[in-house]
Amino acid sequence: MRSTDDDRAEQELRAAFERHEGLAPDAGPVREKIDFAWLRAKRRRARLRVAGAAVAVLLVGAALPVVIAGWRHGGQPATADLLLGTATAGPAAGGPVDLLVIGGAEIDADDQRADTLMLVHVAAGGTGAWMVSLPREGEVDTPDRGPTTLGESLRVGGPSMTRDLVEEITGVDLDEVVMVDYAVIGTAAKALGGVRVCLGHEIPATTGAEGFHSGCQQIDATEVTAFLKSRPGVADVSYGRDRNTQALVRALLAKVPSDGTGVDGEALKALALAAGKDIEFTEGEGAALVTSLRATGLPTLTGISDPTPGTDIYPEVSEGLYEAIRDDTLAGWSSAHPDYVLD
Amino acid sequence: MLVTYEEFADSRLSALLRYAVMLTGDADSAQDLVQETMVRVQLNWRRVAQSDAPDGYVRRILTNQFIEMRRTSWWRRVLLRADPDPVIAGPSDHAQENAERDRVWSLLASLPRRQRAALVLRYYEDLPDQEIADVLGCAVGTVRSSISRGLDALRAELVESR
Repeated sequence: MRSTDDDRAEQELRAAFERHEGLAPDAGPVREKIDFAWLRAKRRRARLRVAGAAVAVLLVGAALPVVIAGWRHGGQPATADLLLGTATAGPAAGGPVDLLVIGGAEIDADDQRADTLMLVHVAAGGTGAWMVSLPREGEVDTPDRGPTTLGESLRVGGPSMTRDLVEEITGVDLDEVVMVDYAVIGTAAKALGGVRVCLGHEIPATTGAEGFHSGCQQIDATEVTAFLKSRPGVADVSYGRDRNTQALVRALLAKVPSDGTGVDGEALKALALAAGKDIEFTEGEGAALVTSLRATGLPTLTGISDPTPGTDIYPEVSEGLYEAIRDDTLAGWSSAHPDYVLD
Repeated sequence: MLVTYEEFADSRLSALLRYAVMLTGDADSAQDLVQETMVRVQLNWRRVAQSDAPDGYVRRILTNQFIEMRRTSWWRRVLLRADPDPVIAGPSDHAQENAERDRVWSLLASLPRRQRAALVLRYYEDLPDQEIADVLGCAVGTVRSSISRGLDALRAELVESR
């Protein structure tokens, strides 16, 4: 039983749509713009489709040049040149950089769930860096596959879907997506002679995985994957694991010597090769990041993760946090939210 | 034989632009929306082409992108732009009628995006409820209530303008 008003409203609506059809831009010029934007997107995507490059670079950014310098005379691989930014690279990139880091064991295999997701934000001028962990159990909605989790999205739609989701959630334009195989972190740990990590809680041993006691301990290269994949004995496993990952990466970064001394050169070469083996840089922005990090020394690395239980992603602070990432004001945000911060 | 991206763009781009205009309300935002969607579509073309209905798949991506779109374009543009959108241009012999219809158009802009999308899918794309539900990723009941709420708002506006 429709009133006449109903019909009129519907008619008016159809008429309004029809009337504005002429507003639609011509397809031709739009097509050209799309093709142009697509080329740019493709290049950006190709630039760092790498197992581990950027994080390895972050980790050993200061030490690597030393090794490569000695290596240069003996026919260095072309990729290393790109990884480091050549001597002719332009001025350091000034603006902030945002990377999505997706980590896992054998992460580049197909059908892989992400174990770790973090948005790494390097402040303008390289003065600070933050690892903002995104919970892999965090619930997300995909346009074509319905609800899933962030970690699962990698298997469902590949890195591009995970990237899209993170960009949609945070509003941050990601500069790069980096897939990191835990093995690369193990290699970095080896190059640096292992790392010392302090745990506030025990990680019980499970089938196929050794445990770690609470308190400070040395973690060797061979234990890195087990450590990163382990299930901490705390109520919120996901949060506990994110914290452990951040603690390990922070410990690694802290061990990188600014002058390259005390580093296992052979292991570092192996790392440079492992990290760079499928680099497809086509533009200089990734290299510019490295250049800027080298210019300013390594930034302090702060971890941010969400202590709120449940499967929502930063439910209490999302807007403020994402805005701080976009506006490059994470330093202020971190001091205002100590319960989210690991430093 | 799977359709290629070029074939798809050749045959569907104009219709997508029209659809985007109905969603966003202006040519610039529509172009941005379609451009962003098509870049994404092209990056994932194999998956799009293998789907049952590439057309519907792309419409779904575009619609969701519109709903999720950062809330910059519409109101900011409307408030900041000195001269009105070229929409309103046109012969004015039906001035009264046009004003009325433009009121409908402005009202659409004030609706929540999901509601607006539901109205466009129903009254511009002429899709049945089930297909609208598929595009929006919600239940048929939700589609119906979105549409009826949108029409309510429209009706209220029309009554007021008498």
